[in-house]
Amino acid sequence: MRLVCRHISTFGKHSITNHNHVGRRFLHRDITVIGGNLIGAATAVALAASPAFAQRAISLVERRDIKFPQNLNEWSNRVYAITPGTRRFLVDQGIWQKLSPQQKHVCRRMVVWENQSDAALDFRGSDLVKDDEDVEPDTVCFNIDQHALLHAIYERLKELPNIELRSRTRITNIELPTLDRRSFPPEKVTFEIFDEPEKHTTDLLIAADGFNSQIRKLMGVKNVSWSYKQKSVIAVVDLDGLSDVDGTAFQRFLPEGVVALLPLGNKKACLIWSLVDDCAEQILKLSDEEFVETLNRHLTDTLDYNQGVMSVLHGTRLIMNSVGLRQSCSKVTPPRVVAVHPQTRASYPLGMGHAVNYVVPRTVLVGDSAHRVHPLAGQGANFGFADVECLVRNLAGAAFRGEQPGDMKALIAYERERQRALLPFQVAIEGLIHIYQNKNLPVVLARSLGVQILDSLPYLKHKIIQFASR
Amino acid sequence: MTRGRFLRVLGRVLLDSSRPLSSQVKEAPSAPASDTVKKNERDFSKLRDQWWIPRGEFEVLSRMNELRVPLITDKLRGHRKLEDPASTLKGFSIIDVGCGGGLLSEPLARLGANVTGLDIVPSNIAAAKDHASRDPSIRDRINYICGDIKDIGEQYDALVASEVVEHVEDLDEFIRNCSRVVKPHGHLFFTTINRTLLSLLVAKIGAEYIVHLVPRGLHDWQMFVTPEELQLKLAKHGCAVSEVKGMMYHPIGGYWTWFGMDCINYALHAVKIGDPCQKGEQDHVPK
Ligand SMILES: Cc1cc2nc3c(=O)[nH]c(=O)nc-3n(C[C@H](O)[C@H](O)[C@H](O)COP(=O)(O)OP(=O)(O)OC[C@H]3O[C@@H](n4cnc5c(N)ncnc54)[C@H](O)[C@@H]3O)c2cc1C
Ligand SMILES: C[S@@+](CC[C@H](N)C(=O)[O-])C[C@H]1O[C@@H](n2cnc3c(N)ncnc32)[C@H](O)[C@@H]1O
Repeated sequence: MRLVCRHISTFGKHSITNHNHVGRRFLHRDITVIGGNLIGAATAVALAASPAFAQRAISLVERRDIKFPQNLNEWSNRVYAITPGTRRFLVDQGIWQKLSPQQKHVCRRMVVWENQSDAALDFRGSDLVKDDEDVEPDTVCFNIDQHALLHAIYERLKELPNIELRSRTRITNIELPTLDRRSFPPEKVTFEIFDEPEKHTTDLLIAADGFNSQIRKLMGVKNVSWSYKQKSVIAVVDLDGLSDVDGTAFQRFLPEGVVALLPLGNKKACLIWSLVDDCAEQILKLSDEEFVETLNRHLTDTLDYNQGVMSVLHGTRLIMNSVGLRQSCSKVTPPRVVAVHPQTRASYPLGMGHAVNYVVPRTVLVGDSAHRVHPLAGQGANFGFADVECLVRNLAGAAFRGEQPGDMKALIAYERERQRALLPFQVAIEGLIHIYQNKNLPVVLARSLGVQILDSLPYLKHKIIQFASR
Repeated sequence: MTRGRFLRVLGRVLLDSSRPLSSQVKEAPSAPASDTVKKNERDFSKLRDQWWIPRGEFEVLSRMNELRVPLITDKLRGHRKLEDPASTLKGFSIIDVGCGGGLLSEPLARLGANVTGLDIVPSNIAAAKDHASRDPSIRDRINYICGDIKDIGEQYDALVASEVVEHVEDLDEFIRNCSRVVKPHGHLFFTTINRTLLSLLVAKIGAEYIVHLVPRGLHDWQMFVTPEELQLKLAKHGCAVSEVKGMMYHPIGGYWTWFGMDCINYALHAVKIGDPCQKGEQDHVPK
């Protein structure tokens, strides 16, 4: 894919410059966001647009160059299934409005099936979105290309004068305030920008720097993580038009992995096929024809299911119900893949991560830096946007209560609210993956989560047990 | 509180059911005013370092800001839309009586108000001054004074006395002065603990002795004030109560919510209607 440099330059300088007695320049930004992908950029937008921070200087630092493909209406292999809840957030932020209609493909149904002969689980959108005129009531999700979505966020970002964007750079010599009870309020966060002489200070550092977060390591919070030794193979494929392929997302559980197809319109779909590492490697090496053939076999073959896989199906249903999808049973004709778009096959590793704390004084994690989930439920980005909504709401509330920026009470409220919402999901997804390998659920839960997480979150204990024993 | 005294109090309460004690009972064990100042000084000066420490002795009080700050901004601003936080209370002068370490004075100043923080205990004022001096965005908008409200000559747009009246010996005189230092049509905000059996169990025994939420011995249950007493005293000095709201602290999770009953903690908002500034003194209402 050809990337055209539609650069976004630095704009809107709101800053306070001070010189200390040694003559070194100090630059202060009220809030600094690290990581300018979906979640970080959305955080900067949501903060800058909030009346609580309209007069504040916000800085966004991204390591990479921020550029977009020339044709944003073309689908790439990275497509996000955006839930109606996330849509509402994006509408409120004026981001949704920047997406053209062909960039958001509506998915009305999600079909999960085991064998062709059996009944499938057929999920439809909930009634919850009915009050929202421009969303069809049965929408399950909107499929949006990652470039189109990121571009929309940056288009909105450019309209906000109080954000300063720094791309192709990184911050160094970061110093977080210590948790010394005596020095309260905590000192500000200080850092430098690579190759620049000034010292920077900020009241609040927001880390949206992905699952490998450097800031999280610096915060010293415990992060529970492991690799699934699985990869997701992704590609853009063409489907035959025998069933309603344009409005339906398909997901099939196979003994060796999960195949998912997100519809993109015009009989195109985005494939997300999670497999154990070796299988994924092999599949990537196949020719286009062999690839299509293998994929079709996995979509249509009748299989012998074991108990474990059956329970996974059951568990998936619980997750879908809890995100508000209605469910019924009907027969499905699995779609047939007719071609794979050239050069769209790729893969990426899957892992799980859970930061035991999302916050320390003046520093907070959002998105994948706080929680990394298996794409099984396609919720990673949605969880991240929900973090942003929750964080900005709590920070704005605190600002209107006259709290200091970066006040710990607001950060803790954010952490509590998000962990309460997310942990059951993480546990459920985890449970599903493990039962998949035919293991005993309670044992797996105890082992994989570790007693320490449960103990640090006693209020969740009950909820998890309830959830797991359903 | 000694064990004997505790049992006496408990006994009296049990005989009296959960009905608030009448004000005569309250008079009985009163100590001379100077003793109260000393008791406040004794109790609070040893807590001097505790005001601003996270998870310190005053954490519960600091968390109460989640209710009392919005209450104050809502009443002062009406329902005008919130724009810049720093101009929310711009132009309002507020006196925070019994400001302690400034837990409430600081947020009010950060919202744009000009705040006078008053406290009788010198170490509290020292702690408050020290803390505010570290924040350039507010330090010029707060003036801390160590002294008695009777010596305040100025009048303010609003008065706040949060968790103070239960520490005040001569409540009538205190309320008279509160009313006096508020401009006509100005606002008065109080939060305190009601005097009921439930508040004895929850706020005194529960919070001080069982879960150690607040420093032990800080509260004398017999000095707790019922909303009716407060309302009567305010009326006497020209202030009409507009709202009484119950508040509840949730020790698990550590946050406050508004609560349908005022039997433990409550907030009271009043507006000064008369100008008893001169009248109050002339009337010479017997205490
Ligand atoms: C194959 C796959 C499919 C997925 N499908 C879906 C889906 O359908 N729906 C869904 O909701 N979610 C999905 N997800 C999850 C989703 O991609 C992530 O949850 C989401 O992108 C998280 O965004 P983020 O901004 O938190 O982190 P990232 O996307 O990892 O972004 C981190 C950013 O920070 C930058 N950065 C890192 N370190 C620094 C530094 N030190 N200084 C400056 N910048 C730095 C990086 O360059 C990067 O831009 C999928 C994930 C995968 C892997
Ligand atoms: C529980 S603290 C409340 C502090 C502060 N209002 C807050 O809510 O954060 C009670 C304070 O009232 C002060 N106080 C008690 N009696 C007082 C009086 N008569 N005049 C002024 N302050 C008084 C005490 O010194 C103490 O600081």
